[in-house]
Amino acid sequence: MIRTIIGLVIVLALSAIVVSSVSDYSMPSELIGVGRGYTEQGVNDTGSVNLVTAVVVAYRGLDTLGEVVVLFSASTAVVLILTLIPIGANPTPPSSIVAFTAGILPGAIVLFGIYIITHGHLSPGGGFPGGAVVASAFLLVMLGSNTIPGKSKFLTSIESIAGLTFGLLGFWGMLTLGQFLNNLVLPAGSPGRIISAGIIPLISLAIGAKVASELSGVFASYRKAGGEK
Amino acid sequence: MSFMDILAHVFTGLGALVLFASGLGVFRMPDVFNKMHAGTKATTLGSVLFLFGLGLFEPSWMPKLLLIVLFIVLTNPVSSHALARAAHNEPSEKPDNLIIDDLEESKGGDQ
Repeated sequence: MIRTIIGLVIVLALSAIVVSSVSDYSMPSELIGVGRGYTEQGVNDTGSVNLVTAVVVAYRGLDTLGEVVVLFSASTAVVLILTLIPIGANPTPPSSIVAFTAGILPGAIVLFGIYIITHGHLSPGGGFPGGAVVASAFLLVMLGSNTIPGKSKFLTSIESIAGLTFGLLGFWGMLTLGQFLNNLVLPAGSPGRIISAGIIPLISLAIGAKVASELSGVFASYRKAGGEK
Repeated sequence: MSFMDILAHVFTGLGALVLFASGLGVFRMPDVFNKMHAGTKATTLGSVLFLFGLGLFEPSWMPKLLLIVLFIVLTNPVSSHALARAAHNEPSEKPDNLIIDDLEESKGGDQ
């Protein structure tokens, strides 16, 4: 009873603080500050029609590089931990329905993932979501097969090449225009075309390849560690 | 309001109704297989009806929406099938009133 009353008092006090702090807040009727700058100059600065991508890859490209590093270290840690677990026996075999679906769907899913990656500067999407979609196709293939995936040098090299590409593209801007990850080392082109927006499509490709190969590696190690012991 | 609009309202309304019934079923049904029945079969029909209704509102979206419908029709039953098999492998999820169990018999009754 006393705990209920104390809890109620705390909730009421916190709500009073929240209400008093937002009660005199009014939504600005027009964009201000950084947001205004991005919306007014974004297309001219980067050539990307999708302003979210312009911010993520061009204006804050260094942050995205950091995110890629975070994903890299996280997936490395997962794979490291999972390799400590002894490899299970054959995983539970898929039923024929799952195996059949895993045979027909992955092609379409990979195609869709590539579409998302390559249209990152034109429509919502880009390297991270597209790479995850491609990786989900790999997961489906794995679920539909009866074998344990082996060690893949291919995945690791794709991952390394993609990460290296991101970094080198950044240094290219540093050497020619004096800014790390400057977007306009390649011409901005005409906004709205698929080959436009400087190096944004190339960076999307690099991020997509990296995310796809990393997540596929994580799925593969889960598959190896799972199954009946 | 044109005939197409009325038809679109009917389809989206039906879809919303089926999706609501599905949610209610997940909430009310007693065990895992019954819940799964409500949560997967009905969502397939509900989403298909709803997306088709949306396509009637905006005919230019129809091809993309039909692709999404095709994808849902291909994936939703398969994933529920895989989930149901996984649940069947878990003895603690077995409901008390499960009397006819063809999957168990086809596996040779090993548990």
